[in-house]
Amino acid sequence: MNTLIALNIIAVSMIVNIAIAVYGIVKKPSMVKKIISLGILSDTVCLLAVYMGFTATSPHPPLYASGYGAGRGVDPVVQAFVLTAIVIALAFTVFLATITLRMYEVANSTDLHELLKLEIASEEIEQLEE
Amino acid sequence: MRSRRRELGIALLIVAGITALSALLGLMGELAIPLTASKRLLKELVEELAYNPDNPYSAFAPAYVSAVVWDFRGLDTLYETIVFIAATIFALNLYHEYLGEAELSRHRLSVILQSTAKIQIVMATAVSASLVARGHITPGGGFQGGALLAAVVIAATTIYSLKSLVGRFIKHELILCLLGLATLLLLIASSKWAIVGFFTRAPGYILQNQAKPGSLHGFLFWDGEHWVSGSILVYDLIEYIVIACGLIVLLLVVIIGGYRERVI
Amino acid sequence: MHGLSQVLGFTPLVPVAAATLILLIYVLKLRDRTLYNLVLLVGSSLTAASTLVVLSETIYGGFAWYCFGGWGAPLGICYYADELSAYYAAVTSAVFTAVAVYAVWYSRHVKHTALLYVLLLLHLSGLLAVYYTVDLFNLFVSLELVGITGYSLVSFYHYRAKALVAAARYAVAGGLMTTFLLLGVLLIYTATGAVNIGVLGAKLSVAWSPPDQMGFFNKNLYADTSLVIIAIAMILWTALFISAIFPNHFWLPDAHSEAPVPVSAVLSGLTTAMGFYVLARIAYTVLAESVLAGFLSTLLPVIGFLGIVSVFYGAIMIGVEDDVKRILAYSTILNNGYILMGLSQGTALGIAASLYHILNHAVGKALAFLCIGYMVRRYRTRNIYALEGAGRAQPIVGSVLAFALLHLIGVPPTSGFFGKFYLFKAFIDADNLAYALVVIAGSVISAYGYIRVMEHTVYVSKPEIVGKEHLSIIVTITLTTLSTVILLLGIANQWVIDYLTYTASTLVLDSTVYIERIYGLCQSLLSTISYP
Repeated sequence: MNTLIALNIIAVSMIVNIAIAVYGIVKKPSMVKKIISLGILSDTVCLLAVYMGFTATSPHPPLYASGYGAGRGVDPVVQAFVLTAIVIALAFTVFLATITLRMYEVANSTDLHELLKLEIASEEIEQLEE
Repeated sequence: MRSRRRELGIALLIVAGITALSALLGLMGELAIPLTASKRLLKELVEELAYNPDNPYSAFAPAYVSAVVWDFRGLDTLYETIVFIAATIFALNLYHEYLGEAELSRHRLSVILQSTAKIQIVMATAVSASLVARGHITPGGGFQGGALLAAVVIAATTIYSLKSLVGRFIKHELILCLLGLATLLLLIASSKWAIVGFFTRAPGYILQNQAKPGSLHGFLFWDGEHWVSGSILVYDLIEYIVIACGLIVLLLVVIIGGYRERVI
Repeated sequence: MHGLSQVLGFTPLVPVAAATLILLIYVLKLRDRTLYNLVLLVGSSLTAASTLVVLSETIYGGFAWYCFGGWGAPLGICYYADELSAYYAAVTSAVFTAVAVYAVWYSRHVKHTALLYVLLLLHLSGLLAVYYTVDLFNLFVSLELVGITGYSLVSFYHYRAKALVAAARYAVAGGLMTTFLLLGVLLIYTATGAVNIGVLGAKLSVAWSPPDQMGFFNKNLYADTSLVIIAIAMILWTALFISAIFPNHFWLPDAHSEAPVPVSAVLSGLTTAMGFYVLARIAYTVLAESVLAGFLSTLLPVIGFLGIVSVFYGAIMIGVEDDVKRILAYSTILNNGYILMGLSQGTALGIAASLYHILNHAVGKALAFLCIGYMVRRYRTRNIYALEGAGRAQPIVGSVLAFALLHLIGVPPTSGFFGKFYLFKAFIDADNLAYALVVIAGSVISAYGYIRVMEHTVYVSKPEIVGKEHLSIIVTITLTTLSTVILLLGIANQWVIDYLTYTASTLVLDSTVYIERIYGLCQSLLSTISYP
């Protein structure tokens, strides 16, 4: 029963973490905080994936070392999912960081909610410098 | 002070709630998210086929995760690399001119750091190379090695100042050329058997690693201890170059862009 | 044909190869605009040709498959094209080729043309990969590729604060949604042990039990079905976000109006249709005759209601906006509402009518955006009052724009009329009078908005805007090709709707066909593992 409680603590705390991260993305106006919250969200989802690949009866790494064979080790498919998801999250975070930097240079603010409310320039004649 | 205490109160409340909920679920004998990994057939199939000296169709990769990433589900990895390159291209669109002409920082850190960094940079580069070269036998692989190499380069620019490194040792054009060539190599490497098969009338699949029924091309070699799959090593090396070059370009863009005077 | 198709395997990789070539030309500093244009045109026409080949292999009962690495499903990733996937992919690459020809003219003054082309080609590759894949995790990766290239394309004019803000909002919301898609896929893997759509459908199905040599297709789930329901709800919510259905529409007007014009055409017409494919695949192939059929029957009316709200929201906002590209963006929300209403019907004619409407919308919206783009480029403004007289000054563009807007309103003999007529007929056949009335009401309300655009841009004549500029041959070719397509579709509408009804009936009435064929792909896996 102790292992059940321990595993439950891990799973429930990850779910609460996801909820906190979603709160951070939606409510916090600053772009930097949104990037941090998105990072927390994707990392927690990846961690949850590794948790879901855990075999309590044989918790060994998924390698071919002598003594291991079929059925002896944690799930390698989920770990492959996590590798791909982490690279994609990295590309996404870098994209957001670059756009935040550019937003700060052009609009002098990283506050997304404030920028959305601002009526930037008049709609009548817009200068499209191309 | 009040907001600190309020935050602390919320944090303690969350921790207490988690503990209570998990204890409750544990006492009822249930798991919040069920652990079903030991019953999964896909896992057993992977473990049976990833390294099986009796079966010539298996992937011959002692690290099962590398087999899944580059052989069984190689298409996912190919697309993930393309996603990463798309993010690099976005950064290039914004900042390509500034990479060459910007005013670079001359700030360098203390002499102690500079001397110890000489040892650490060499060691970290060696570790990254070993991660890549043994990526098909032990956990590791192209992405981890590339990320480590990029981190080493950026740490060096922090310690030795951007101005002394960028332009002399870190040439943007060279890194971008490497990125482009490595991407092309990745596409060629993944479809080589298909293209060869198209011309020689023997079928081959895209991202094929070892021989398959109906297509007898394979890429197997003996590395002294095991029979291992050669193409996973090739993919790891190409991924190493792509990720390292892409990350160096991206991080340099962010660092150089952050130092510049704000332009409106 | 029923076989291994090499063309299918290469189809999404052709745009990637073209993009890599353009990237190499760019970094090796052989920067010549004609080279970029050539590679873009060759790449997109090759892709269109190969999707048409795949379509020809799947017409009226055929299918094509390709297993990457030679590993059969469910160990490896397979591409499988049935009529629905091949139709979506052919429409996407054909419209993309037309927009690419226009982009060759449009990007004459864009600074980093090579990077625009690379991102457009990678976007196309991601779209095709979504339509052909059988694997849920590969679907996630391809959706992320479409997403990242989409966000980068929206913020292409990076010196405009509005473009950056629009892209940032789109990106943050999109990142949140695709992470939830990932969580849904992982929960499905935990609960059922399958990430393959065919295997998932077989596990949940009540109508089909095959002889199972490998143990993948047995019916026991490892966890409660509530976990599967939560996961599928997350996946469908992400699909509705991609299609910009109310209440997930908030990102669309800013993003599609701030993007460059060829990008707006691709995003509005083609990318939003991707969500409908995911919805149709999950709802009709996996859930239709399964243990979760009750969940599906409560879900479809809710989705239909969201479609109705999107229709009214889009129709009303068309009439009050002053920015001509924002008007077209709200029109996308309107048309996506129609398509969703048709999809939620559950009958073969309803789904066929919505597939027809996807084609109509893609061609018509692309045509409208291209004409508007010409005017915006020439007069450097997006305000509808400032563009008065633009249609008179350039009569070809003006008349084509009027034709495209009539097609979007749904006036005979354009193909748009027939699309809405079949939607109306599908609702009447299913005794759903409310939906039928919504179609008519939406058309009437949106007609006011479209006619307003036509009046200001095409009809009004301002003597001071003079000087008929010589219209580039590329623009003329593109505009006339797309208008001819609309006319031809209008004439041939009976054949088109017959084929689409056949497609939809295999999807709806016989959903286990997909699952059976994926089961057939697993046999090739057996031959690799049963080596003695």
